[in-house]
Amino acid sequence: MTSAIARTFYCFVGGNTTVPVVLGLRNIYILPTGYGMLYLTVLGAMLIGSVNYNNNLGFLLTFLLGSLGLTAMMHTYSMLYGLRLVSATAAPVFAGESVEVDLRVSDVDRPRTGLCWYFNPADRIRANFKPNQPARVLAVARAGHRGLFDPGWLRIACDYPLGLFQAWARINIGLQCLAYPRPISAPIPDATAMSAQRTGGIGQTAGVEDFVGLSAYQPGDSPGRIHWQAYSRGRGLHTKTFAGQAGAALMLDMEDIEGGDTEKTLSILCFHILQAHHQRRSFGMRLAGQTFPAANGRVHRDRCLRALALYGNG
Amino acid sequence: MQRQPIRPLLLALAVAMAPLVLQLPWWAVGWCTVSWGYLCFRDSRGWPMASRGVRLAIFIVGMTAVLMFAGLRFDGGDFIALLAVMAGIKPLEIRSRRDSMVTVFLAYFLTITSLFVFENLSMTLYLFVSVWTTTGVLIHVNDPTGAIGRQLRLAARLILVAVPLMVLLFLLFPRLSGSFWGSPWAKQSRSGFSSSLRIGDVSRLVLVDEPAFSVTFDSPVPDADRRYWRGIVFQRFDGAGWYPANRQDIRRGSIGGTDLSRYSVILEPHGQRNLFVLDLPVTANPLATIMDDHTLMARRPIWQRFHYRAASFLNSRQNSADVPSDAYLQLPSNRNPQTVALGNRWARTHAEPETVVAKALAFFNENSFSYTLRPDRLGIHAVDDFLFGSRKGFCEHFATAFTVLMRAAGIPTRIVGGYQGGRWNALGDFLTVRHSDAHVWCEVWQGGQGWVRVDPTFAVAPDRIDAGIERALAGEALLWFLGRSRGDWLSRLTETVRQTWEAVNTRWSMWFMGFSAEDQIALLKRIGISAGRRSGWLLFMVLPPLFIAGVILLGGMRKKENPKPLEDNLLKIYGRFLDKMARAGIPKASHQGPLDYGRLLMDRHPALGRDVDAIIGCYIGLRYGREGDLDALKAFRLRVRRFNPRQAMATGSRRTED
Repeated sequence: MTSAIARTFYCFVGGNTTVPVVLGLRNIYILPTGYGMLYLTVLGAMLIGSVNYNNNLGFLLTFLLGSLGLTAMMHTYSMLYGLRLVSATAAPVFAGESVEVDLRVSDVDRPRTGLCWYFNPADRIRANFKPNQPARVLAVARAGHRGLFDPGWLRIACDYPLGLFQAWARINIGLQCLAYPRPISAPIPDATAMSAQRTGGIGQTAGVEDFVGLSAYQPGDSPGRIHWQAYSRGRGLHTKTFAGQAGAALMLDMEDIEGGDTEKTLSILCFHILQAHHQRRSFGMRLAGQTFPAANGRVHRDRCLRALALYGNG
Repeated sequence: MQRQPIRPLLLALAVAMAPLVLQLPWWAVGWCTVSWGYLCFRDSRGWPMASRGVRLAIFIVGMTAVLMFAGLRFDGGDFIALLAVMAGIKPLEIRSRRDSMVTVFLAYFLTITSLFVFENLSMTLYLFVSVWTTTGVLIHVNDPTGAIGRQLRLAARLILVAVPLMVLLFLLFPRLSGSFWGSPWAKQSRSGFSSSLRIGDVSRLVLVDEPAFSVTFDSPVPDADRRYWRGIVFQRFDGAGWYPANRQDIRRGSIGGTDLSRYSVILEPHGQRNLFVLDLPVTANPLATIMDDHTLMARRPIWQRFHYRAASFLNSRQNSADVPSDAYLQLPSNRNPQTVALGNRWARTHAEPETVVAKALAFFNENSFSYTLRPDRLGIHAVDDFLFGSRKGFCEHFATAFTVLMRAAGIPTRIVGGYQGGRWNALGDFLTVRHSDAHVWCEVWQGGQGWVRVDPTFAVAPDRIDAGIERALAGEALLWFLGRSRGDWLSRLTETVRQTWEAVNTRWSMWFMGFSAEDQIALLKRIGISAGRRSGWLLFMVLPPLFIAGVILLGGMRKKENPKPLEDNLLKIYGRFLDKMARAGIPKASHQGPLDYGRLLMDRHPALGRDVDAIIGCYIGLRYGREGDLDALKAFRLRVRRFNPRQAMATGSRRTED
C-alpha cells in the first residue's frame, strides 16, 4: 500500500532522475523523521505550557525552537540541493558479492556533510564532501544472481544537521552491473589431454615453464610477461614466451563437466578460468554454441567470464 | 553500534539545568552529580555500564525519593525535581542514537522549565546560551565524527537565522487575552504582606532587600509623602494580630477627586491576591477588581511577575453616606485595659473625632516615643506595654496603638498595609518599591469625609515619610543595606551598577514580559492590520512559508555575489590584460584562444615576447591547471599590472630603428 502510494507520488512528481543529474527542486524530497515528530510533540507541549501560564519567555523559547527546526530543514535540504552526479560505473563482480558502484560528483561548492548513499538501507555509505575537491563515492549494492542485474534506485539521503528532517533523492544510475558466476572449486577431467586429442595436436603452445624467446606484443598479453628491459632500451614492446609443460593450451569445455546443473557447471568453469589466468596458462573455452580459441591475458579472461555470466541470457 | 558522545550530552544537560540548581532539593543535585561524574570517567577508566537491573533499581529509588519529597501535593518544584532525577538517570542508559536524541530533547525541556521559574533579563539571555549548547550537541549526536567546535559554530549560525522568524512569531502569534492561570512552578515562600498582620511582621519584612514592584508613571510622579501604596486593609484585631474583614464586597459607586495619576506596575510574585495601588484607585486592569475598602484584588494569587495598569486620585472624594459597621469598633475583650481607658477618657472629654485624632497624635509626639526596628518584647497586653512601657516601636506598633485608642474612643478605624515611598530610578524612569519600604498606616472614619488617612508614624518620625526609611533609621546598623546611599565610592559604584541593572531589567520586563494580547492588537493596528482573531491565525500560517522563501532568496543572492572568487578574479585580471592590448591596437579576436593570441602578439611585436609569454603561461596554468592557489594569482595580477604594452612596443620599435 505504502509502496503503491510512493510509486504514484514519484510518477506524479517527475523530474530528471537518471545520471547525469543535478539534484534540485524536482527530485529532492524531504519529510520529518521520527525524531522530527518527537521534536514537534515536545514543541507542542511547550506551546501549551506557555499559553497556559501566559509565559512570554516560554513563547520565546518555543518560537525559537520552531524557527530552528525550519532553519534546520532548509539546511538539510541544501545539503543535497545543487549536487551534480556526473557518472556511475561499476566493475563486474562475482555473484553473491557486493558491487561497488563508483559515483562521481562534481560542483561541490560548499561543504556537504552526512550524505548517505545506498541501494538498500542496510548498506549505507556515509560521505562528507569538502568544497572544490573532486568527489567520489563507492556505493554498495548486492549482486544476487549470475548475469546482468540492475542495482535498483540509488538513494542519497541526508538528515544532517539536527536529524529532525530527512531529505532524499532517488536516482536511477542507468547501469547494468555484470555478475560472473561464483567460482566453485572442483576437478575437471584432464582437460589438456582431451583438448589435445580434440584439437588434433598443436605443435607448440604458450606455457609457463621454459623460456622460449620474445615475440611481438599483442594486446591482451599479461603485463608480467612484457620484456620491460627491452622496452626501456627503446626496442618496443615484446612479450616473453614460455613453453608449457604439456605444451598444450587448456581447453575448457562445458560438456566435459558432469553434474547436470548448469549454474554449477558455469561456476566450475569460472574457477578454472581464474586458475588458468593466475597460472598464466593459455586457455580456450567452449560453451554451447560459442567457442573461444585459446589465448591468454586479462582481456581474454574477461571475455570468457562475460560469456559465462551471460550464458543462457542471449 | 556507534559509541554515543556521552560527555557533550552531559554538558547540554548541565547547561540546561544550571539555573535550577538552587530550586532543587540537595539530594537531587547530588543525584545528578554522582551519576554524571560516574559517566564522565566511565569510558576513560573502563568502569562498567550499568546493567538493566541496576538501572531499574536506580529508577525506582529515584522515583521513590521524588514521591517522598513531594508528598501528596505535587507542584512545580516537585516537577523540577522529577525532571532532575530523570536527567540523572537517562544518560546511564545511552547506548543508541535514539537515547542520545531523547536526552537532547530532555535538555530542551529542562530549559523551558527554568524559564517558568525565573522570568528576568538574565534568564532571557541564558535561554540563548542553553539552546545554543543543546543544539550544538544535537548536531554532534547526528555527526559524531565532526569537530564539536565547528558544530557549535553551525548551531550559532542556525540560531541567528532562526531569530527573525522567532521575533515575528513572538509579536504576531495569536495570544489569548486574560488567560491568567496561577503558575504552580515556584510556590516557595515569597516575601510580602500575607493575609494577616502580626505585630513584628512589618519590621521583619523591611529587612528584605528585594524589589516588591516597579512603577512607571504616565502622569507626573507624585511626591514622596503622597506615595501610599495601598495593598490590604485589616479590620479584625485579636490582641496580637490583625485580619481582614471576613466578607469583602466589590466596590459599588465611584469616587471622585483631583490629581489623577496614571501608572503601570510590574509586581514581583508574592503569592497573594492583593495588588498595590496608590490611594485611592479609580480604574484598574480588567483582571482585577476594586473592593469595597479600595483595595485591588487579582482573581488568582500572583505566582509570576504581573503587569497591570491603574489610575488613582491622589486627592479623592468618596461616598461618605454609609456609616461603617460596628466591626470597625471591635476590640478584643480583656486586653489592654489602660489603653481602652485612655480612649474612653478622650471620648468623654472631646466631642469631635478630629480633636481625638489630634490628641492621639500629640500623645505620640510628646511622650518621647522612638521609631526603631528593635522594639522591646511586649506581653499579652501588647498595646499597654507599648504605650505606657517601652515606647519603642515600628510602624505597626504605632498603627496598632492608634487604632486601639480610636476604637476605644468610639471612632471607626482600620489599618492599611502596603508600601510607602519608593526610590526613583532616574536611568530607567521608573520607581522601584522595595520590601524595605513596607509600611502600615491607619484610616479613620469621619462623617462627611469618609475614611481619612492618618499616619501615626509621621507624628513620631516624619523623616520616614518625607525622606524614606534610610534616613529615618540612619542610626541603626541593622539595616546595613540601607546605609548604601551615603557611603564611600565603592558603595556608590555598587549602587550605580545596581540601579543600571534594575533599570535594564525592569524596562525589559515592562516591554517583554508585559507583552500581551492587547499590546499585540495595538501593534497590528499600528502596522495597518486591524486583525480579528481569525486573521491572526492566518498570519501565523503564512509566516513560516514566507520565512523559508526569504531565506532561500537571501541565500540565492549571496551565491550570486560571490560564486567562485578565484576563477572570477582570474578572468577579471585576464580581461585587464586584454584591455591593455586592445588599447595598444591589437585586440584579441573572439576565435583566438590564449595561445594563438600570444603567438600572434609575439610575431607582430617580438619586444613584447617575454612579458606576453609569461602572462599567458600564468593564465593557462591558473585557469586549466589542477589547483589554483592564491599566491600564483597574486603574482599574475602583479605581472598584468606592470605590463605596459605601448611602452614595450615603443622601446622595441626604437631598438629596431637603431
